Amino acid sequence: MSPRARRAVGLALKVLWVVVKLTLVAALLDRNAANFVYAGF
Amino acid sequence: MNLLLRPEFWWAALAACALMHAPWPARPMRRFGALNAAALALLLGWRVAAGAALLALLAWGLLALLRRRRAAGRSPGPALPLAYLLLAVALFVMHKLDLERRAAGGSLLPVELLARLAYSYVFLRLVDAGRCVADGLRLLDPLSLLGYLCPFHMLVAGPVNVYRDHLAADEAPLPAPGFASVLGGVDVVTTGLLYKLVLAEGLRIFAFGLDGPLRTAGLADSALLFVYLFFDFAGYSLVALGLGRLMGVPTPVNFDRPLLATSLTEFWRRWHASLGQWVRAQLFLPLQTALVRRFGPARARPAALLVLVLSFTFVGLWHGLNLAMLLWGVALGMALALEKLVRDGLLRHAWARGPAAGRLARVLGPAYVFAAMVLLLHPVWGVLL
Repeated sequence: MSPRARRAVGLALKVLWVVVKLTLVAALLDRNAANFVYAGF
Repeated sequence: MNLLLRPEFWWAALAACALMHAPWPARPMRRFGALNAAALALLLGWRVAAGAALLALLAWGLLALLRRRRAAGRSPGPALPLAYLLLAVALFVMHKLDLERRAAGGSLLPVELLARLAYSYVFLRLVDAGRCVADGLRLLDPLSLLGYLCPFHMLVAGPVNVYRDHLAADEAPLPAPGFASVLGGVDVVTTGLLYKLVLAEGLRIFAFGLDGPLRTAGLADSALLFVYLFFDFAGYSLVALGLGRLMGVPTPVNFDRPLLATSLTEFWRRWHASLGQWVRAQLFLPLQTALVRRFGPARARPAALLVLVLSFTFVGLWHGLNLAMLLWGVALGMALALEKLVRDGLLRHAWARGPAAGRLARVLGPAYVFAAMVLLLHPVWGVLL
């Protein structure tokens, strides 16, 4: 893989990781969801 | 927590990130000063923003007088530096005493403004700026100084930014943002949000219930609270760090994997690192130098241990102006001094300097630090939380 392609893959993975984190934060801001995920078990 | 959950905070941050890189004629830190003043007014109300501006103007006035005397070749004398320090310390004491009163269920001094500005941090910045200007560094204009003293993105939990860094950023053009640098900043901000809102809050809800109070009864609670505090505090610090990078405003790294530290000394270099660096620069090194000059290099070792205890006593009092935090600071300083003595004694043996001992320290060290911090924090959770 060329260095340019490797860099592009790295950036794409970082974007994906940012989206995953934001999704988790948005989901856990919902109190009911938070209660279900953490206190429900 | 409340500030991070307010949409205005994010709108202000987004606007500041965009406008900092817009083609304005003003220097970068004056630009930030103006945007920051607007953000403070939006987030805390115009009265608090005006109070912060007045504080910055007062500090600037005293420092400008000091510089003018210096430039005229006259000795500034003790009055001006003393007035500046007294202003900073008096406000700090008022702020802390008011917080104590509020915790006890009343308020003797209605100094809401100081609490909302997180004055504990402003105090440290005032001292840093004062010392730098007294040492001959350039004095920022009042608007830029306001941006240094009360940056809106560091309102929740610091970190302690550095005057020299702010000055350096003011003197260089702001680097143009690229896709990778913006993504890097967003990555740090979202990691901070993940730490605070998912991991810290998750641990809290899991251990104490959705609306349950934080229990501080046993050592197991203390261990949970220590992990909670890490994700909570490191989360806020990462949000500030990421926003600082996006805006081009110097914002120091505050946490460098402290739970992997192999000694208490290393832990305090990695945990709330910006406070540690401030204490080292403003207290530890000047005090140690003064003691060594006074008593000679032969007494350098006991002087270092004494200054260590004194520095951590200040750290304790900075967290809370009460007897419990004073004793906590002394205990922490003594624990570090004891650790230093034991470590120096062990390092005299060849086996303790070998690779096997290093590997053992990397495995057992973090467990020792965790246990020591849980024990040291256990008596003061009621004051800290």
